[in-house]
Amino acid sequence: MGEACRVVIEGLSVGFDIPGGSHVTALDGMCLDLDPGSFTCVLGPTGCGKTTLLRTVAGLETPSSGSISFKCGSGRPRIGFVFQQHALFPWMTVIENAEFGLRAAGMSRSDRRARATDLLRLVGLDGFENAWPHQLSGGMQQRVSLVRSLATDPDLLLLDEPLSSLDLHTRFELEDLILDLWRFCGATVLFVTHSIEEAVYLADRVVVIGRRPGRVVFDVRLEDERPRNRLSRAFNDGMLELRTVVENLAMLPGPDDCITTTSAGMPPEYR
Amino acid sequence: MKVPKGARAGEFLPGLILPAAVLLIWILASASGLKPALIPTPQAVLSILARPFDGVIASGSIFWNCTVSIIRVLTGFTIAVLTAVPMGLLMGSSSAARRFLALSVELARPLSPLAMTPLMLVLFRSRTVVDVLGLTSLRYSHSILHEIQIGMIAVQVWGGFFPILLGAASGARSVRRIHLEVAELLGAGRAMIFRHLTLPSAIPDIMTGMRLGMGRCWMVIVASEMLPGTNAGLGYLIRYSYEIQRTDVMLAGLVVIALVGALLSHVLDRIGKRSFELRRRER
Repeated sequence: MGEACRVVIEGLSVGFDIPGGSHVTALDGMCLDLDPGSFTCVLGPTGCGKTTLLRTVAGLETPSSGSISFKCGSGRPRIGFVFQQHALFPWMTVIENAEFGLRAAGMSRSDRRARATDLLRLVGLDGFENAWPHQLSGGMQQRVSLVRSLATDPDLLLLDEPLSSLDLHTRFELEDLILDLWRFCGATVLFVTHSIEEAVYLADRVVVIGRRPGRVVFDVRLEDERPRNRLSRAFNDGMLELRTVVENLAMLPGPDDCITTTSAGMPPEYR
Repeated sequence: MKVPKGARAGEFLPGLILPAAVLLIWILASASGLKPALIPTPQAVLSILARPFDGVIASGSIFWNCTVSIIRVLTGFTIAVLTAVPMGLLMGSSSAARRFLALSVELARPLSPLAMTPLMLVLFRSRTVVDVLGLTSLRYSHSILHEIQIGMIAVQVWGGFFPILLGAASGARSVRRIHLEVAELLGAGRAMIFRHLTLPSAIPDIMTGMRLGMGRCWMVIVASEMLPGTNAGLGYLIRYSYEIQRTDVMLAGLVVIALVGALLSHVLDRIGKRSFELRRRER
C-alpha cells in the first residue's frame, strides 16, 4: 500500500520558450493543496495548462517560480502517471509492460510476474498477459497503463485525460475501475479531464483552471455518496453548476486570489 | 500467418513479367543473326550456369568464384555490423559522442569504397588472411582463405559501415519522448532505458541500414574484384571474360551476381521482418 501524500502547490508558474523568441506562460501563480488520499479532478479548456500542471507535479517540467512540496512518510513520493493514450511500449507484451516499474525497482522475475499477473486479473485482463499492446482495444490498453503505474504502489497517481479517447460505454466501465483501484491503493489522485460529467462522477473535489495563463478560478468539493447515479437530480445539478462556471470562465475573477483554492462551494453569483 | 499457396503465387507472378520480357528480347536478338561474340544465345549462357562446378576459361568454376565473393562480402559485412552498430547507438544516444564523431563521419562518408580501393591495395598489397594470421600450415596448400585479401575486406567494411552507422544512430534517436518519460517515471535508470527502450526502437532502422549496407558491399566487392590484386571472384571472372572476349561467361556472371544479390537482400528482409512489424504496430 502506498502512503497517500499531501501535495502543496504554491505560486506555481511554468513557462515555455517558443522558437522565434517568444515566451508562453502556461501556469501563472497557481495554488492548490491536495489532501492525502483525496481524488481531485482538474477541469478546464484545452490549452489552459492542465497537462502542464500534471507534468510539473510529476517532475517532467521545471517550474519557473513557485514550489511543489509533498508531505508523505518517506520524502519524495512514488508517482504513478497515466497518459492519454499510446504510451505502452509496443515491443513489449502486456505483462512486460505491466511489470516494467517493478523491474526497474529490481524486483525478482518471479515476484514481479506474480504481482503483475494479480493486478492484470484485478482489471479483468487475465488471459491477455502475452498479448501485444496493439492487439488490445483502447480501453484494454488503458487498463494495462493503469496496472503499470499502480504496480509500484504509488503514493500519488496522476492521470492525464486517460479516458478521453474512449467510447462512452468503455469510459463508464473504466471510471468505476479507477474508483475501485483508488480505494484499493489509497493514493492521492490528481485527474485531468475536460469532461464535466467525468469530474462530477469521480471526484471528491473539482478544480477549474481558467484560460491562459492558467490558475485555479474555481474550486468545489463534492460530497455525494459513491457510486453516484449519473441520472439523479443532484448529479445533474452539480454538472449544471460546473457547466455554468466553465462557460463563464472569461468573467470569473482573475489573478491574485490564491484563496479560491481553499474555499468550498460555488461563489454566490453562480448559485 | 499462413498465406494460401494460390495467393502467394499471385503475389510473385507479376514480378516475373519484366524479367521474362527481357529474356524474350534477348532470345529474339540472338536469333536474329547477330554475331555470337557480341550477344551469345541464352542457351549458351544457360549451359554455363547449368554446370556451376565445372571450370570456365581457366579461372575456376562459377561456384568457386561465387563462393569467394560471398565469403569476402560476409566477412567484411560482419565486421562492419559489429563496429557500426555499437558506434551508431553511441552516437544516437549521447550528444557528446555525436559532437565528437559527427564531423569525421561526414568527411569519411563521401569517400566511396571504390575510391578507397587503390589506397587499400597500396596499404595491404595482396596480403591475405593466411599471411596476417600466420597460418603457416596452410601456406603451401590452397584454401579459400588464400583468396580473402585484407585490402578487399577493408573496402567491404568501408562500404557497409556508413549505412549501418547512420541507421543505428537515427534509430537510437527515434525513441519516442513519451516512452522515455514513462520509463523515467517508473524509475528506470540509463542502462535499463538503453536495453529496453533505445535498443528495441533502433532495431528497425538498424535493419534498414544493414540492408543498404549489404547492397553496397555486394556492389562494391564485384567492382573491386575487377581491379588488380586478385584472381578469383565474380568481378574477376567478368573482367577476365571481357579480356578474352567470352561474352557468354560474362553474362553468366552477371546473372549469378543478380541472383546472389537478391538472395542476400531477401535473407536480411526475412530477419528484419519482425522488427518492422513491431514498428508498424506503434503507428
